[in-house]
Amino acid sequence: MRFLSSVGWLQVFFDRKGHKRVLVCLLSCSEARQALPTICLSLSILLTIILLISPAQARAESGSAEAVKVAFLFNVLRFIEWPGQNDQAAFNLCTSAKDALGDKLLVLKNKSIDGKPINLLRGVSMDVLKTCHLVFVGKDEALTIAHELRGFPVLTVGDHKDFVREGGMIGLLLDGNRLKFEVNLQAAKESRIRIFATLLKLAKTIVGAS
Amino acid sequence: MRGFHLACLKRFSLIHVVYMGLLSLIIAPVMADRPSEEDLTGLSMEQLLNVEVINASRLGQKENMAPTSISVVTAKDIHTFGWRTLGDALNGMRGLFYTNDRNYNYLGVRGFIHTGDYNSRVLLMIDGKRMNENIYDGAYIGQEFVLDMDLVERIEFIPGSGASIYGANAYTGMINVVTKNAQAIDGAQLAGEIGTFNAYKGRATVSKVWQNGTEGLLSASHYDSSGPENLYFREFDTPSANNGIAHNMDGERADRLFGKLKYGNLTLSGGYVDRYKRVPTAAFGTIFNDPGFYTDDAQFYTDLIYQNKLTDDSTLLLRGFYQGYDYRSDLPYAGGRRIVNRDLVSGRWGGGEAQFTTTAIDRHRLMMGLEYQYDQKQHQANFDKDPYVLYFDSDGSGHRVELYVQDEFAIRDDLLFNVGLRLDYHHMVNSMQLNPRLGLIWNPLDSTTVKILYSTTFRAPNAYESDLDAFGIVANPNLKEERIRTYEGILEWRDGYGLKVLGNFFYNEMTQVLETEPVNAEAMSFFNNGAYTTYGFELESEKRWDGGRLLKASYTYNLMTDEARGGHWAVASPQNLFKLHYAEPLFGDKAMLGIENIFVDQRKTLQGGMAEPYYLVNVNLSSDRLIPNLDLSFGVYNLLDNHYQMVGGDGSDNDLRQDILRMNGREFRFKAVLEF
Repeated sequence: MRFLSSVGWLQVFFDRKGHKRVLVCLLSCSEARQALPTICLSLSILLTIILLISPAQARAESGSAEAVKVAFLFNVLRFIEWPGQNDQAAFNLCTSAKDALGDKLLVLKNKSIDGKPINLLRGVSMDVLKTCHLVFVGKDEALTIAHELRGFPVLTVGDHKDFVREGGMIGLLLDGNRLKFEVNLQAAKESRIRIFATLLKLAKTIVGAS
Repeated sequence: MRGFHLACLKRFSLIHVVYMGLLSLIIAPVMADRPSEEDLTGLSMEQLLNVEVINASRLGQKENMAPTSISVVTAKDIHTFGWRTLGDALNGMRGLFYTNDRNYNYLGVRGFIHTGDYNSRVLLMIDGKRMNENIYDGAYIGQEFVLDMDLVERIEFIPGSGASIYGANAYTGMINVVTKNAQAIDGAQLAGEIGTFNAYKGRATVSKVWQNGTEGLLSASHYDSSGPENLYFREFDTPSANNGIAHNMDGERADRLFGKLKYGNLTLSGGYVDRYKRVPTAAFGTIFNDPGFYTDDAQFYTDLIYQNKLTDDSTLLLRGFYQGYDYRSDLPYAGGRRIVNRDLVSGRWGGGEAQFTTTAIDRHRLMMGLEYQYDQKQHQANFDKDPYVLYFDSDGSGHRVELYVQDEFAIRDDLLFNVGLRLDYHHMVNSMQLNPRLGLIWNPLDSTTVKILYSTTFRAPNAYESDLDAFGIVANPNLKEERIRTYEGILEWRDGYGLKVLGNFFYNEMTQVLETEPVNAEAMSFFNNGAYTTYGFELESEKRWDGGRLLKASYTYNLMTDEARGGHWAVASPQNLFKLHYAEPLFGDKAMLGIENIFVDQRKTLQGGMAEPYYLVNVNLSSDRLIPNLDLSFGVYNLLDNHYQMVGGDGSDNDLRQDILRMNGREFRFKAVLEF
């Protein structure tokens, strides 16, 4: 047990009465005294700060790909204008049969945007998909569904890598460990869907812009 | 003051404070009520695009599944804490420390540091390209480092001999510096800074992203510091040596260039640095306070990468590179009259690499690669200039080939077995080298990862160690490779809300370490007789809040023993390291305050003394929102103004005479970056 010497973090010394004492400390006690008050002070202040912080403020800086995609679907609704949107009472958010979003999609269940609730319609038929505001298309069905929905006032979002080049409107990609998205403006225009410039500014690539 | 800190010590010993801090970080979020599902809908679109996506396929290269305990700092951290060099940034990371001999900077990893090895036991990479030169195999981390810190996107550090399956010299660990891409700068930047000791720096950077996706970035910078006007060295305190005062002897200059061009699957990048340093320490038995003593290190690299997805599952990476290193130093000696000795080396090397990664086989992620390097030139010379006397002149060249294969096998959904093997041919070693890297990674819960790792690797003698045949050193033709064996156990926990907690223990066994020993009364040689073991543990907890607040604390304990010299605590190795970083956004997000606390425990010196423990506080205030397109920052380094002690040399004429070197006190820096 070599580290039990006076050089480590256990300090063995004799007090005034000659009793053997052991002091546990991070600093070598005899030589770093001048640093101690500052350390004690700054740590105490930090400790106070930590305890004062409400954990509810804490938010994720990392997440699963599914949760990030779901949050994207929620967020993107704010940046879209559908034809005749004024008389719409809710957002119909639909997904294809194999959306691969799992339970993560359920966080949208009781959410609303500008007082308009989100109706979740999962794995519904093509006829229903055509009445949705947003359709998320899983990788496997991406190209066929994107094709069939072309021209309908439905925002199509998919995570197939060629989604926007095959007629989808917004394609989600993972670039390294960040979510990126591509936009097909031509497809959106054909469906009379307006995508706000603030969203376009964040896009990785835009295809079909005139 | 004494009364206060003793009272403080009585009420709670320091270790309690640290543990309470760590504990509260862990407990607070656990105790809070929060929904069990992962909900990121509260983030804005910008924030969402910045979320680190953890790949759920369990076979991605996600951080917590990698067979390592990686540490990462980002451009944002560099900005927040005002780190001026790569060494500054590394010094803030778990388990690392550095020392400076007023000539070069040396990195210590988990207790191991070897001043004078120019960091040849650490692999340094830029964007995955090895930067260690081919004379000393040195990795330079101070102003002598190729990149400007403003161009760094992130710095990754991985400790241990299994740090990387590819690239040589990952003996105690691996540093990978990732450069910014063109979008990160987008346009042009002019930066200027001014600091204590007449330190000035200027940088100009332009970048452009073209419509077709081509990206380009070009940057140039110049740094100049005159250093402290007077440095006092007790060891030279005689009237003939200016009473031990080195006057205007600590100046430093560095010029840098960096460029990057990305077109389709091709990326071409290159960098250049030329660093001049005046040496105030009268090292190597030179004349004290002689302004003619300097070292100059220049390094360049060019790197061309082609990366292509062959199929949905497979990626091919091809790389070609050409690099160079030139060093020269003038050393003034008193020998009747002043004689200037010139020391110089010049290295050139190039090569290529092919790496293939595939996930085509179910539950396997397979990576294999071949790297080739030709050491075209390994020139070393030493001579007196006038009268010309040649002491040493040596040339070398040769091939290095490395073959590696690694498989990540998902035995179960929550259990990953990572097995890697590399085979090396190296012209500086007689035998082929085969080294394994094994990792078992278990995810019992979504939040928790347990890793058990084992690896070995080697370090070939460098050209300097094998060829040097002067200054009382006799070349030893029988040098072998150095060996290291690392065992590590890691426990990681994330709450999914920005908190990461990590604990690990490690055991390093280094054998056949190259060190000089006397062969007779006059001469020394390098021998493979050194042996060190280190065991220790680390604790780290890090929490990042959405608004930019950061709290990160790490503690490292290690004991490194010198097995070749009686198993005692090894020289220059601190047993305790403590780091605490705190960042707080101020004035409604307009400014950012970063406070860095670094504690390094005492270290044995080479001459039997003890360098005192030190505690550094650095404070940096920055704002990129106060004035549009202007990024201002003001930093105070070493706020407590202590002249902290670094381990010096062995006292001989082949090293520093000083046992301990005192560093600079408080320094200031003001920096402004203008964006166009």
